[in-house]
Amino acid sequence: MARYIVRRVLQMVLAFFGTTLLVYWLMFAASGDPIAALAGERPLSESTRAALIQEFHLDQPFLVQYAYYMKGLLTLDLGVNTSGREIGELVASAWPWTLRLALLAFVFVVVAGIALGVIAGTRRGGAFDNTTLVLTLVVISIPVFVIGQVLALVGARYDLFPTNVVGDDSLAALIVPALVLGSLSLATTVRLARTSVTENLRADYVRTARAKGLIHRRIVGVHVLRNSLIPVITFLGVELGSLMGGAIVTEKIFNVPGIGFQLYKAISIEDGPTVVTIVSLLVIVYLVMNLIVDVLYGVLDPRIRYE
Amino acid sequence: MGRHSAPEADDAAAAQTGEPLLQVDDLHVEFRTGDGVAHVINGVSFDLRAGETLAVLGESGSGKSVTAQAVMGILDTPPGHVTRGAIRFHGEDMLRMSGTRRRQIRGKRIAMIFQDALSALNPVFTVGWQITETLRKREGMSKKDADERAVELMDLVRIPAARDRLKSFPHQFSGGMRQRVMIAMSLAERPEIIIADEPTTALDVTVQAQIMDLLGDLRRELGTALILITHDMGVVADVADRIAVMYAGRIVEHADVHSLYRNPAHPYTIGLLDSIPRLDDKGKRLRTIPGLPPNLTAIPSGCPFHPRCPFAQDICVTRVPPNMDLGGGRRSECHFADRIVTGELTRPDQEDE
Amino acid sequence: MSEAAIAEAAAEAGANTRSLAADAWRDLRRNPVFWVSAVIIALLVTMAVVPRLFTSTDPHSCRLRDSLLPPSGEHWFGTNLQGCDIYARIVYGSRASLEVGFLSVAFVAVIAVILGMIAGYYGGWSDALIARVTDIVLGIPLLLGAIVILSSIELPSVWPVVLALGLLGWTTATRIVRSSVISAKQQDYVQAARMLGANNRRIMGRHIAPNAMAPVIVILTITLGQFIAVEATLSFLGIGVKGNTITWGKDIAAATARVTTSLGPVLFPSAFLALTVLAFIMLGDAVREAFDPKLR
Repeated sequence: MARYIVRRVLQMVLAFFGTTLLVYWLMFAASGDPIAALAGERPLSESTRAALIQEFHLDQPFLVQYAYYMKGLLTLDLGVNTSGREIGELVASAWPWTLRLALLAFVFVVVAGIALGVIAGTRRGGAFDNTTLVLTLVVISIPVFVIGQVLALVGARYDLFPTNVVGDDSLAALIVPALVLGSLSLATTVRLARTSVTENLRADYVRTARAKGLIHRRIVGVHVLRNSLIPVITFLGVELGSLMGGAIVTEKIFNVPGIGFQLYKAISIEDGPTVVTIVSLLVIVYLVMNLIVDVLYGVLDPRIRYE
Repeated sequence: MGRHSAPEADDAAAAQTGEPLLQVDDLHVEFRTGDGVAHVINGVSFDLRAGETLAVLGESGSGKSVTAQAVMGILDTPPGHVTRGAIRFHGEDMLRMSGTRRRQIRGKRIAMIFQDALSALNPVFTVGWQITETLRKREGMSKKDADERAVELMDLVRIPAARDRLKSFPHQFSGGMRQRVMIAMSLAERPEIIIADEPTTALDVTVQAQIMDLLGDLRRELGTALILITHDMGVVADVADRIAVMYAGRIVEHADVHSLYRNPAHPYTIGLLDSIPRLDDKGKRLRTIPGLPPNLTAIPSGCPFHPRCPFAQDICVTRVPPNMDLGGGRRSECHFADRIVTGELTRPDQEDE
Repeated sequence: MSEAAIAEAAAEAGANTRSLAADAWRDLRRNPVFWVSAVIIALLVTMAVVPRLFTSTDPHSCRLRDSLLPPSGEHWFGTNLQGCDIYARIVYGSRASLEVGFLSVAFVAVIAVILGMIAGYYGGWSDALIARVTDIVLGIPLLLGAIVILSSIELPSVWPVVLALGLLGWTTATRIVRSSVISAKQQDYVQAARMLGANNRRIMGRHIAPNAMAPVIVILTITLGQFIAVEATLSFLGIGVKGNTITWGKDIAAATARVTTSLGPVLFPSAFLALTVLAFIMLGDAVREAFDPKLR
């Protein structure tokens, strides 16, 4: 088990450096003119230009620039953005919003996703199952921003729920955004849980459990569920990372002042440093979640341990 | 037993134990699928007495496993349906019991061992957890007591270092040890009957012998009745008291093990025995039964075995053979059973080789 | 095995491949989901190639006094804020979506087939290297990565989006190619062809590629739908297809500027977008069902 974790951590560290290097390269090197990438199309004074070169070590070779950037990222010195504001502050004030939104969406995905998936899986071919399959397919096909935008429009027009979270500190205001953010994950989770339960219900160990004289509820609720949840939980763990990344669309639509909203703002004002920093942070969250999931997978599925 | 002639011995045994532990009477099972109705079991009857071992022998698709599942009450419904017959346990028809009552028998008084222990055991729970599950949930034992009992059971089935292995997972055992875990699990609540469905098929030959020895010993030590389901004639000779040979969902021959091996009374049994490789037959060509087991959605008319039977005559195509009592507890469903068993009729192709 | 037997086995395997495809096609033909999605996709492709067949209205000729008209005989879906015909804009907007979808999937297919075949067929260090690179790219969520790439390219065409999706979206398809190649490689007839001395290129081209194709086609079809959704999302965020090109995502974003007045400008392009994505996902599902007998 320990060796497994160590191996995974090493893999993650490798992926972390590779990924951030890629992001950094895409942002600055690939664009040809790093200054343009940083400052967008706005005219720059000579002094700003010099400050930017200084800040990002643009007079140094690419790998050195990257090393400086990583040093800043790892020491939580996130630097300043193009308008001179500390990116660290920006992130610190936005982070709680995204975390709350993502966690709320996550709870919703976990509870509703597993419950609906298990019910559909145990009633395969029934009306509930077929309805679930069609509905989830529809949700998967409609891009999240469409769902969010239409809900926001309808909500605002008929005054059903708050569609503008800025200035509303209550958790209730986040419910609809969380539903929107979680919709795709929910649909995927339901389908995954359903397939997993269906497959496990056909497994030989279910026959053994029946031959032991266990009641049906225990066979499904303990034997089948414990096995079915392995792929579902793996998927869900990765999804928590993606939910934070996916928050950009939801936060823009509902004006949630979180990380995604800041990212959107940075994109629209072409604030390069903020974009790279926020994306890198989200990538880190995503990678860490993947690592946790991998370890969790080893705990959940005893067969994986000695691989 | 030796003093008596066979039929009297039968009566004596019945008198000693009263009624049989398990009586299967005219059992019929159908599988209803999109492709039609498969008649999987077509009137199976047999008795099992306390402490006795009955081997149920047949090719795959002969209905032997389905019979076992019907007795256990774990038939997959749909597609499987018991359409007729009775399965009496201590005289009470289990097919007419409430689900709850049936479940109290299942696993506790009649337990089952499956073929492939790797897939039959739940991969994510420790073997200790699985062995003790019914003890904790049904017998209300504490976890500690149940674990103690599990160690006893694992000792009983000769799993070395039982206490240390309680926390191991099924995949950490070898095939033979896994099957022992399976057996230990079935013994947990001291059942009166164990049904073993091809318990050694998935194992290596040497391990097969060990598991069969274990089953034999356990039966002697614990006095548990055993229904041994297998397609392997070589496996049953040492362990079984009686053998029921199944073909196309019927028991075509039913006899004590010695008579059946020495003097089979059904052409199908003869075919099965001829297909066992023997050391003393070196150089001779192994005989196989020609043709394939019948399609259960369209079972041949008359005697279902007639398309493959070397003895077949016109009557076999038109009339279902009667269940012929040959005395000594022997029965055969062949029109010529009496003449085959006396040696009057021999296999027509016998002289060819 | 004699050479004749090997040749026979190889021929039989080829026949099996063909009959698998034939079986799958027979199955597909009977599946209404396949026909519905195929017809939708065919219509959309026609719309993208020859928009004039569907509308004679110029999507760029907008009159502000026609702003936000309700649906009518003249404007089937009404008009948007700028007074443009929504239906005409949807028809002309289909081109950007489908171009991005097909081009980026073609890009992904090329990367996936090359890398997947190398990794699966040769194994060893090339496999390990490709696996690590895959891990790295998988570490970047598609939308975020695309945002980073696109925020540094200012080219007004679909190509930057194609590049971004292609560069980031090849991982799953590559893994699938790799594992199909590995399982195809272990088939007896491939071993036989190798024993007969067929060279690597021939083995990969003639024996492995046809067998590995089905799962790849399935995943690429579904990916196509996803890419169209991501393109629309990026355009909605203002960094997708830049310039004057009409896209559904941009029109949906533009229509949300005045939220409370009219739902039409948002709903109609959204419905077309969702229908397009749905059609590709359903098509992929139908093909998968046809090729995977286990699911039947």
